[in-house]
Amino acid sequence: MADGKTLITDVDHKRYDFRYAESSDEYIREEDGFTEEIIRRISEEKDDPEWMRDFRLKCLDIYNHMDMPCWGPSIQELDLNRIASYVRHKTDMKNNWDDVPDDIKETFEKLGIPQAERLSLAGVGAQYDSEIVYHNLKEEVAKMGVVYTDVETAMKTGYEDMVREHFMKLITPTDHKFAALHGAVWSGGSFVYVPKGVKVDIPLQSYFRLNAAGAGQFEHTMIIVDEGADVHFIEGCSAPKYNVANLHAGCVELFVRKNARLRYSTIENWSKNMFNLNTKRALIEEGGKMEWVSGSFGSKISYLYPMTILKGNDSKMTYTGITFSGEGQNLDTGCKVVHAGCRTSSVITAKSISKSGGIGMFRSSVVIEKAAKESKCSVSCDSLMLDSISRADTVPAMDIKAFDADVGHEAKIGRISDEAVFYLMSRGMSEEDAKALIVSGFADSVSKELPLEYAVEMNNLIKIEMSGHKA
Amino acid sequence: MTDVYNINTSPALTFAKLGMNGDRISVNTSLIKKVNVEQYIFGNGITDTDDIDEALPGGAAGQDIDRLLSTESRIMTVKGNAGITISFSGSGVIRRVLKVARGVEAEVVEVVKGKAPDIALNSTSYILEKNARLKLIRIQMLDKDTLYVDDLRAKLHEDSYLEVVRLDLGSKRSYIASKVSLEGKNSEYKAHGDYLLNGSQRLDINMIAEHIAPDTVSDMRCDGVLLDSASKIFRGVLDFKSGCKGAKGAENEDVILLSEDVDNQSLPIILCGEEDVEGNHGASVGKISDEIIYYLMTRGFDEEAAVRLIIRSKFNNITSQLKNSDLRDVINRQIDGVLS
Repeated sequence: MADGKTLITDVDHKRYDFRYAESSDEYIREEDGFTEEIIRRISEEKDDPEWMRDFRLKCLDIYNHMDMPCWGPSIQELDLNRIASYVRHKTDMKNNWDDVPDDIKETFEKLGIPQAERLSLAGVGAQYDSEIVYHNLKEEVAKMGVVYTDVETAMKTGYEDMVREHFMKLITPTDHKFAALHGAVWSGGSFVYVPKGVKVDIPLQSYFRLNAAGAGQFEHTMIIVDEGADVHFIEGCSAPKYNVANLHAGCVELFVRKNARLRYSTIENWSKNMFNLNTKRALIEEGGKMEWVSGSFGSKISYLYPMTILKGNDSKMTYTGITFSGEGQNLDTGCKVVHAGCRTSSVITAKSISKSGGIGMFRSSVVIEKAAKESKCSVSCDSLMLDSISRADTVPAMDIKAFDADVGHEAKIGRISDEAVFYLMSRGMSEEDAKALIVSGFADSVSKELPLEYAVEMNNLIKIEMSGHKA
Repeated sequence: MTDVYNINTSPALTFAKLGMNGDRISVNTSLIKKVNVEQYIFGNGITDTDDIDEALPGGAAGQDIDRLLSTESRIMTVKGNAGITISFSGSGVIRRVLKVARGVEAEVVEVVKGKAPDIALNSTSYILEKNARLKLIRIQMLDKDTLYVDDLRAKLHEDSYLEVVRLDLGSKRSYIASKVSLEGKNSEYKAHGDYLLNGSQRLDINMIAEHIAPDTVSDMRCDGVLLDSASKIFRGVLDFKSGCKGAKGAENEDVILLSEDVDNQSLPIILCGEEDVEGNHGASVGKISDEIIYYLMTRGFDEEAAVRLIIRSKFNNITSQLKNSDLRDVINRQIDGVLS
């Protein structure tokens, strides 16, 4: 305790920082780097249809000709020639936890995934390194026609046309270098189809674990929520910490049809050697609703901006996110929205906490196209600085082409208010409790949007230890 | 010889595909002549002076534009109220340094007019010494064929106060680059800029308030009206440097869109490297509220007159600050001409 400062601990990653050695007897690991030979071997390993193999090779070519992003945090430390594109256990995907190899099963048990499945989930997918190792969907949900599997299995079980129609159509390989890389080496992820009118009352969850040092994870998530359907999808991710760089360059493509609703919740807790360069995009049709809930706690560097295209008239989007940047972290997060349909609306609420030299950047983009008549957008971003060696920046961009749009924006950066602490202390609280309450309140608008177990988890992650200091 | 220059590049870049990080202009440098621009000073408040003995502040237009500032600066001291007219009669560059002496309280009204199809470059540095207080009113009424670059820089010493009030009505394409460095403890900066753009006018703003010293205050406000196919980008930056404890900064924007073909871009940035600060940004973009128009119509105005009244009242905030009634009338006529 120093200088009378409130001590707020960093996010506790210990729960996630355990690992198992991966021997060549049990694991297949591609050599480092991204070459045509490697891409062909991955494609062969997966028994891709010809169109997918050709697509991978086309993406590799685009990747080789694209520059790194010219904005955002520096990723010069990321040596792409030292990243292994593909690592997998020699076992196949299982739909019974008992059949999953012991080391992998123990990993997910420590993370609480099987318990969560029993208690509160309609279906679970678990990816370990490059491949899904477990997938299961409750029988009653499957009977409603809901499909929940990995993309590779979907292509082999009657959904190839649907995959082909949607795969990397929202996020195209030319979007940026890491989208192209993803197209070349993608592996694993989730495929969800919710038929017309089906409402799934309890969430589906995929958990992504990257155990291998110096490897990349490139899972592809595709969710199609058909007309009038409703589903909540939860995505969790973690990794043990290594002293070499790991890379996460997944892609999430979401299709929300007429009057459908999708809630997509993410708790990202990668280790602090991870470069998290993930891309997420949703296309919303008439009357549809997209809800993003995002908690970013891990990674060394993050570029993460879920994008929503409000294509249909009267479609809606909400984004609620919190980012906690601690020592050695540069988390560049936020969201993007394009209003294309009439009477579309979006509400963006972002919170950021930075401490111990961490850098938190809120970055957003709001585009209201000329045709998006009578559309509304509200952006609010609050940042809390907990010391003077950290940074909190906000760069929100707005491009309004519709004259009858209604756009409001508010941003606030500051520290814990002395007046608020004084007020609470005058009501009988100790200084420590007062500050704890203020920080909890700051994060509350986000945590209340999370599923209960994740809200509890977040409160554990942002473990607040107050200690007063009497000078 | 025509060269391409980067201009108004944001100090914090964002998604390149938005095209909002900065702009580029082509300039035929051989056409730029110092003789094409005249400066007329009214009143006794400003006198020429010797060289200054401190570093000049950097600008927000960018290093490329600095290369165009080949001409020598005219150095002046502000000791009281004054009026300045800057008149372009062809492509030209004017570069000035005005030092507001210690403890002086002054108001300077600058009017920029004339015509310069290739470029009119007006670069001004203000240095406010300790306890100096300056209100700068700048009215830009250039011919609508003009490409205008307004490079305003200011350095504020301890306990000084700078208020900038500006109204941009003219030119075809304007670049407003403004960077104010709050280097002295307790220094304060307030800016209020209004614009009225019609036809295919384009306004590109890059306003930076750099908080360096403790207990500094900034408040930047930028309001405007877009008609026809006019477009505007506002980049506003509150930059809290490490060590500026107790600093407070705010930036606000209110934009009224009056046509289906306008394009309004905003990039309000807060950069924060100090814990003990308060930074706020607010923006409101849209058409005039139907309720307000309806209210005025129930009081006997037709819709067009109601809109005109609302717009005029916005600009009254600035024109009412002008003591020169002739200048006020000229501006009001120009506003009415656009709105009619």
